[in-house]
Amino acid sequence: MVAFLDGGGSVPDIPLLDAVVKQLFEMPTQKMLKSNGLPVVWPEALKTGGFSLNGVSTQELRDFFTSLLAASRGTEPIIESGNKYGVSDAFHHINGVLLMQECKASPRFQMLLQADKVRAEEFLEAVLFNADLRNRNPLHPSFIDSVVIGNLLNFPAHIFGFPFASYATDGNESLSLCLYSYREQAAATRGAPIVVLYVKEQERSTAESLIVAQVRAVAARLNMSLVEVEAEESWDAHSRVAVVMAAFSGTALASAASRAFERGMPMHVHVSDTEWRHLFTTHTTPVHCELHSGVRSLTIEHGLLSSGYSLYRDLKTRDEHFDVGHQWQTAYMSFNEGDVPRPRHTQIRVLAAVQLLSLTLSPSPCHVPCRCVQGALGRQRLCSSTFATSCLVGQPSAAWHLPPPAI
Amino acid sequence: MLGWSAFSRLASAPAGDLSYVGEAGTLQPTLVSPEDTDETPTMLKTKVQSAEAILRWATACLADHRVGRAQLERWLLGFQRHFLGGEGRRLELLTSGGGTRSINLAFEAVLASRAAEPPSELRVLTGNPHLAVERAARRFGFQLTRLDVDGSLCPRRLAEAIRDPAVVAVYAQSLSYTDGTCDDLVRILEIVEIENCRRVQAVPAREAERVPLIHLINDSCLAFCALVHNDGTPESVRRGGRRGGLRVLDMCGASGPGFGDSAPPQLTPLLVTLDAHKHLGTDKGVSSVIGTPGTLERLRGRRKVGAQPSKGVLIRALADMYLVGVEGYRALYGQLAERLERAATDLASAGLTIVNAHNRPKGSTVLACEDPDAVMTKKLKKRGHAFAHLFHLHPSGRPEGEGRSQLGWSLSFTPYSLREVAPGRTALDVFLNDLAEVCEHRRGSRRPWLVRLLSAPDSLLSVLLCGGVPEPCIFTWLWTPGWGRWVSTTIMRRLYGQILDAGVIASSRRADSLATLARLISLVFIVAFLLFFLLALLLGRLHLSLEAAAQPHALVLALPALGAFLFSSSSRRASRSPAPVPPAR
Repeated sequence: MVAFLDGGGSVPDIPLLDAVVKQLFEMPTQKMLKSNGLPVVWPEALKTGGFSLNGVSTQELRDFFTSLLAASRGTEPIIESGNKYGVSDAFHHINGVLLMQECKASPRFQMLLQADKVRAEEFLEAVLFNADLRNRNPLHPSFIDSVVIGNLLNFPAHIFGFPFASYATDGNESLSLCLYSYREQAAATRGAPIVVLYVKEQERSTAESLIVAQVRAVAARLNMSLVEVEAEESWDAHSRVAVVMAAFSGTALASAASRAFERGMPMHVHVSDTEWRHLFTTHTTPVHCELHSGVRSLTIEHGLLSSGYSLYRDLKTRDEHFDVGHQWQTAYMSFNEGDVPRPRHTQIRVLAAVQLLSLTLSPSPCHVPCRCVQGALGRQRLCSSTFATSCLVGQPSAAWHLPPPAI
Repeated sequence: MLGWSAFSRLASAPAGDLSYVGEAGTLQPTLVSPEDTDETPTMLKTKVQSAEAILRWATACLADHRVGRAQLERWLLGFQRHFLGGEGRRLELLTSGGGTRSINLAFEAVLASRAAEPPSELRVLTGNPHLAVERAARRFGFQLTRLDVDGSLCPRRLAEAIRDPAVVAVYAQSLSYTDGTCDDLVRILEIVEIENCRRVQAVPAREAERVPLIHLINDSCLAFCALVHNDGTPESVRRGGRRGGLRVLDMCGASGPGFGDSAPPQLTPLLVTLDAHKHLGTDKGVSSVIGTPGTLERLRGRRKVGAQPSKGVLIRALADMYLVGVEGYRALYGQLAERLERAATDLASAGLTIVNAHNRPKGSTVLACEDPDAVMTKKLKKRGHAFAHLFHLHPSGRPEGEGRSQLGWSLSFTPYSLREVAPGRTALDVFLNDLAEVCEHRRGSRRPWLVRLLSAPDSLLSVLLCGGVPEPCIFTWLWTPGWGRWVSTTIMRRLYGQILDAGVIASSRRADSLATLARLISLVFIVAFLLFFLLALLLGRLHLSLEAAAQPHALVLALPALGAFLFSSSSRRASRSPAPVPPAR
């Protein structure tokens, strides 16, 4: 079983020389993500807090985004290739109103206290009715996107202690990206066909069966086969193993990671939404975990979080699925399996970053009524409005217990 | 993200309602029958609606649990068919989050038709496609053969290559991302149909149904404006020749009007992709792949990899499209196309070489120009314009002539370029004006003699000496395996990696590794220098050490080290954002 340690973790650094090489290759394009020199108003608490429980007032939130937008102003080109289509200015209003309606009609919104509803609405308004924040395309790199997405990805990364992260539209896509990376790395040395070795638990649960079926389908799509082995079984019979996998919450993970590490095989863990939820239901205060260094990457299924997330120990695995064309006449790439993320993802990222900031940046208690919850460490103040926005616009049927969606 | 305690509460909700559990987690193509020809909601059939009316309709849809994915996707296709064609036909539809994902679905459907054969033994023919095709080939493992001439899929070469039994699909574009050209879809469809007929006739009649047919995948993701202007009507065919008809779904099938002299093709399975989030202008993430009967149906029940647009996303997309209306889009893109045609004429008269101009259809929204040594790109970039870089434009070698180049720039224009940025001046006007000035400045100028002496045109040295942007030159290295490809690939990856790695919350990452390294190295030098000094003192040979210190080589070592130390210290202080590290408890 994975052991959780009390307290928030942090996104670790990488060895100095690796970091220097990385930075050297970033230099030619660094200025594309630079601000225009104006400062971003990061609340003071950021310097001392991590992902905490405190909230932020609407004003602080607005100040942050106002300064962020100001810091990126003037960097927009007059003419550029694609990106903004500008068919009708009315779209911003219509889509903002519809998104707001969707949120307010949600049973999740109804669960909030009245004061929190007001605050949540203000949060939503700040983002949904701002044409520069809603519906962004991060494939046209900009300062705003890097601030928002980068900080959002630090949330899963700081819990599991991985230095690099990425995202995709859902958990299967994240898993697919990682398996593809391992397949490409293995193909060069081991030849096809490539195998995903799954170390089974002694007693298989329904949840594990679902995950295995999922991994099998995703692997098959990439022309990889899934081979299941018992925990104590020898791996010698399988010579074309691209990656080893085991259940995150199972007992086989530690020994499998250790064996994989000894054999120089990468290990990947796919955290199901059930397991991800379990982490929060069983720990009412921040925790982090330190996985065996044999675990080279980890993916998180969408559900409680709106997108799929992937974490990496090294750049190579992530780099491998950053597809770059070798026979095209223009430079283009994306970090997930498609070229454009779902619209709500962008706004979710903005909103989720709002959450991160809300939870992180405010040093003082927020000015709306808070309720108290009894946690493991005693009675704590919890500002429910701080989590309002992301759960309202997030995966509709995932964050809260709702009836199955009509679609 | 919601705070730990809040998250605990949220997480305690049962997870059995996730969208990927059960049927919702699998692909379920929507079938559209001929009866569904006009799938516009009744209230929107009348003339242009006000924003309020649209909002009322959308609100009602959101609340109505009877409105599900199938209904919304039929409405979406119902609207798109005004431009895409295929009215009155049985079709299948899958929506996805983007064009690349739609293209992936199309390839998955094709490969599913030959599921018994390993993908590595199957072959797809294409011209000069979007990167999505190269990516799909890598992921799914099929062979990809390029048969392009001047940016388009060459029908002659296609007719030769298609007889290979391993060929499973032909991928053709209605509008190329790089240069705004289109493939000769009419001729390509004819060739595919002929081959399919040959395959069917080569087997006994009772086995005809099992013959593996070649699919035509038509990428129209970016081609909305071209589809508006090339609808296959006699007028557009007269105007654009074979490229006057880009609506492939109208070209074949028993009820289709067909094109050219031959009868409408009957056999060829078609798959067409179109993005609503591009020129239709909806929020990002609404793309669709439309197939003829039996194509996408093969994917029914397969597990989703990549989320599909949700109900809310589809309703918002429909609301946007209904607000503008069919005629509204025609008018808007009529205006854009007219403006771009004039722009293309201006470019040509300014002496610029438009890439593969002879293959551009009417309504092409992509303009691409050759740019010797990428100098023009640099100058226009300084004036606030951003381009897609083009490179390796002539794989068979750079053509002779003034203004010809392997490098260039490309712009995919949108109605956003028609926004007014100054009184009476659109962004496009500003760009064309800037372009004219840059061209005027360059007119008659030649590469300096020293540059001619030292370097070949479009080489990195030449670009640097002439003051051009080096990126397209560096990206040219992508075409050749080796260190060059590694360098350019790594630069590309680091650009996008920076977006993902830019977080400062709860991060222990160094803000500036180079400064840290510089500081470390300089410290080592300083310590070594001091040690040397101390050692000399200890040995009682101070006078020698002073002499040594006065030697130029010692100063050369010490002063830069001290400078680097001071610089790295100051740059560290000036690093832009705090990197908070919560104490591990």
